[in-house]
Amino acid sequence: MHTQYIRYLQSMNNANSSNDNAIAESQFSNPFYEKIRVERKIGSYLIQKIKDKSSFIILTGHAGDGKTSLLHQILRQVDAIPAEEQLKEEDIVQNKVNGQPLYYVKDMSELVSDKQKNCIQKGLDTVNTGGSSIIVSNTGPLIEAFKNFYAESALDKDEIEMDILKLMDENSFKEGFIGEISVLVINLALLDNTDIVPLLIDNLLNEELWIDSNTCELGSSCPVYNNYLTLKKHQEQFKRFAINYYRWLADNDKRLTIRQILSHLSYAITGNLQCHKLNIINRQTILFDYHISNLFFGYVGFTENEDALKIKSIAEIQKMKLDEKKLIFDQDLFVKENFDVLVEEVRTITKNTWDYFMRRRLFNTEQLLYEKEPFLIRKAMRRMGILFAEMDEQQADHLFGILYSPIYPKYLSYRKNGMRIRSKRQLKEIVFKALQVLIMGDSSDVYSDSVLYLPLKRDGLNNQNVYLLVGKIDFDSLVVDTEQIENTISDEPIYNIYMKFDRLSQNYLLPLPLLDYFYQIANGSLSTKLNPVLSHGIHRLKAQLYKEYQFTDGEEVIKLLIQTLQGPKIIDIELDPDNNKLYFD
Amino acid sequence: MTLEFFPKYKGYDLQAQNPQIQIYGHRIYKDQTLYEYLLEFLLVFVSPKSEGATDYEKIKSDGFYFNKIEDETKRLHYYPAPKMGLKRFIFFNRSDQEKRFEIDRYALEHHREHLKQTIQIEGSSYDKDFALDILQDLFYGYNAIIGKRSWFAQSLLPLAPEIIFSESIGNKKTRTENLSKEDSFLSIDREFNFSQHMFMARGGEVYYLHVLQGLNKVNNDYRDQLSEKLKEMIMSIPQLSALANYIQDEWEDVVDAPDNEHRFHYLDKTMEVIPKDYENVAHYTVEELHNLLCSELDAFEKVELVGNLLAIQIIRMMTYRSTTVLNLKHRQAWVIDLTKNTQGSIRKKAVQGYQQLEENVFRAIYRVYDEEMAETKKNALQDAAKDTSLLIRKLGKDIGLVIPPTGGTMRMSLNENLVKILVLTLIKPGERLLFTTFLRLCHEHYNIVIGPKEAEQHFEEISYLNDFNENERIFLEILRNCGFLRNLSDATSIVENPFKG
Repeated sequence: MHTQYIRYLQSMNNANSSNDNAIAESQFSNPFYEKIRVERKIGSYLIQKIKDKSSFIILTGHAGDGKTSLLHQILRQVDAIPAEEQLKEEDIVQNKVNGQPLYYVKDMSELVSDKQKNCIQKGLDTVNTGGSSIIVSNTGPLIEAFKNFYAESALDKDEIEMDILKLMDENSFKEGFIGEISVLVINLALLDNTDIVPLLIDNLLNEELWIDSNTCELGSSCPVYNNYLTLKKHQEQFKRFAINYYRWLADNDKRLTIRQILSHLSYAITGNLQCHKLNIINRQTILFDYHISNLFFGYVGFTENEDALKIKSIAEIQKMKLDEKKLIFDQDLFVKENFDVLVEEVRTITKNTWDYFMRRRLFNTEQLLYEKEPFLIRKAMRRMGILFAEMDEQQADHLFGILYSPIYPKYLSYRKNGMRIRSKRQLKEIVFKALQVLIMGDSSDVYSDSVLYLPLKRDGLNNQNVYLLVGKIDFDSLVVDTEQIENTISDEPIYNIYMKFDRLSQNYLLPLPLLDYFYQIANGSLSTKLNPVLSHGIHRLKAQLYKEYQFTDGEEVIKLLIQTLQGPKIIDIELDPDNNKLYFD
Repeated sequence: MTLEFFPKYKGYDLQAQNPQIQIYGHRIYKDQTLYEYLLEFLLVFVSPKSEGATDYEKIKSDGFYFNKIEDETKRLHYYPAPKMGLKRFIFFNRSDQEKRFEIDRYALEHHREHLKQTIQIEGSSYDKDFALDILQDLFYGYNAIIGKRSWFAQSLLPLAPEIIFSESIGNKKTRTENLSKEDSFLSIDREFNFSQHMFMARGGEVYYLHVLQGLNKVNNDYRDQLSEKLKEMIMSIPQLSALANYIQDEWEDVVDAPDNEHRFHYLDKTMEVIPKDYENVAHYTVEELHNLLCSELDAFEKVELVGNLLAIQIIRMMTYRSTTVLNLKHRQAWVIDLTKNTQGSIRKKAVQGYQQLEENVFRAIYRVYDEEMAETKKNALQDAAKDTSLLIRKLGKDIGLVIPPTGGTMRMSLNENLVKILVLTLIKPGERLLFTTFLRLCHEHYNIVIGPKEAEQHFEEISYLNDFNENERIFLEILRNCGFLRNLSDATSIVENPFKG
């Protein structure tokens, strides 16, 4: 049984040639699918919508985001189809929960354009007669299909396109109009799916699936089994690392689809090893080489595995070079050779591997520091440490701070628990300081902590000795806070971090990269780059601040900033046009 | 085909003009620099205007609007204020030494002395001259064009309407020989040539007329909205207005001229004509300008982008005009080469395309040029080239639309700034389009050819569409790197204008 399961896992990643189960449709009939699949909360959410009123739902998203699986889940949950049944191209079924008809299209993108048009019409008809419709489609064909649907109407086709893109981009879970049809567009590509990771890992490590693995002839020499045992023992720690890694990617514009996550995890556990071909000469070596701590990072032992690089999240984790950062347990591992910092299950194989390479070859100091082999060995040791060092909560936060960014552990905590008063003030100080540096540039030191002046200053090199200060923002005008948002994935609350200026109506979200950027800037790093989309956001904010925080006409004082040999200085000019007087201060 | 013009002034003799004016409008001229198109355009916009001559007194408080022309046969006038006192105060001490005439030094001294009387320094130890220098530095820091120019030919960025200056040229002989300290300040200020059209060579007027053409073709709300947004752009800093007014007003106290003194308080300028043909692209012009003005941008950046947009639109006007005058079957394409491949077929097409564009723009001149002209005026053709094809080249290079800056294999390309302009002008703030739709709009508005689809429409037999694929891919990456393109899902790329107010 367990060998079949391992084969099933291996068929889900693209680092080998047999990825039969990488496509959703082939999954439904597989008995293992039933065991590992995660019921998505968004499914129940949509079912509720359908129950409340007839709805026209469109599911779109990246390939691998689970559009078809979600449709399947919904149809099963309303007892419209039995669990193992394959979906048809399109069908009208009975929603047993409310007794209404439910029309579905499995993948509109696969249909010819006339048929697509029909699908939209059928969907519409079903809704008009009190039922509901769910159409799954890729985005490109979806837009074409609707343009086609309206081909003969007077509606502007570009407007149709903009309608769809707007609904997809906002992904607000509210109905909106495409032309004259009211639809609920769910863009799975923009849904946070990271919270699924712990549930997925729990399911993958479900004991039932591994039930007879201890009876296997390889026994404890099997690396896959060893990985399973180690993970099972430290399931929570591994889940924490995995979710934080995937979240980091997601929040830095490198979000993975569920299929990509599954592909990574299944490879990391099994290394695509084939049991019957395993020839174990040295138990320690093979356990270490194919240890999840290496596989998760795309390594076999000390070497990069080229096949593994086909898995997106492995390619990403290698780019980040996490195992080249100086970590808290470096001193223990490399200098004191104290392997007690690692959990028991990995201690011996790690120590033996280290000893084997370091004792057998005598490296001198220079070699140790600069040569490739010791470098690769250290990396492998760190990987083990990253995943399986003995850590309490605080040490883990510290580790994530080093691996990703100092603000990251705080961000994770704010996101999960919201912010306390003290954190709000601390974060507000960071944001305010960063804005001072960004807006006032090199003169930021002349101002106090509590005022942000808005200088009319040109970019780039020019000798502007005097410039106008057109407005100011007080520290108290800014609020940094969190708001709870709807979580369609799990029951855990999620908080968004935002900043709000008292004169701007809009809240500005502070996503992770922006927080990170502000943190770096506030701490004196000027070379930090921000991704261009967010930097437009800052420019726009700046323009709005200049507009809304201008000194008003009532304030007769004109403030200038002059660069003197003694440094920058503020001068006030008061204009009294009635008496023809100009007061300088 | 007769050459029709706009507005249809009564008795206007187009044939009396040089060929480049007849073809491209009165007039677009080589010596006008990029910012001066914008400044002159804004000068027309902010000034009081009238159809036919009128009494300045009646309209002097008007301004900041686009004329709705009632009677095309009447000449359009506009009445900017010369404000020589303010100009001298800001630029004199920082300008070309040779053109700092004694008579102006003398006037400036009086101006400054007078200002000093009104200044009071409290609680600080610096003197009043220093205070005035601060004011001067403040304005001078916002300069737009200085170069090696004389003080009266320099200009500031249009951050406030009071500091948008009209052209004034000081003749050396007049200022050194004809004027003396015995003359009144009024004559010292009036003795400039205000209508030489050297730097403010009517390019901005041409553009203003072009915008009027566009406003006639689009929804009427646009007229007010466009005025409102343009006004917002140049009125956002009231402090500069207040200080500028103060400095100029104090000078007017010194000069003590009667109210409404011509050439001191106001100038009377008339606008000429442009080809009626331009109206066929004018609605694009208005729409693009409007989108850009509605985008929430930093004050300096907005001014810079609008300045660049004007140049692109002028190049479009002229390209378009050449193809209609020459009666070409296809509109002239702008083949944009983004590849780095010097041997590639796109490079070849782009170089050829640009060559053809210049050629067409110049060749259109022959529609009206004849040998007689060569006899009456020396260098008629050379001059025409300077104001047509070479002008496009110069403007194109100034904004990076034509590369390389020097040397051969000239072709069209896009830099980050131009990409930004395309996005911000073709997409309303806060809205988004499919990448493919965006490409189509680039083509519709400017005839820009980047990808295979557009290439196919322009070039009949084309065997290298693959190269255009590569070109399109690079464009997509540029848009992504500039932060305007995102993947929404499924390899569906959208382009958005993120600067919603």
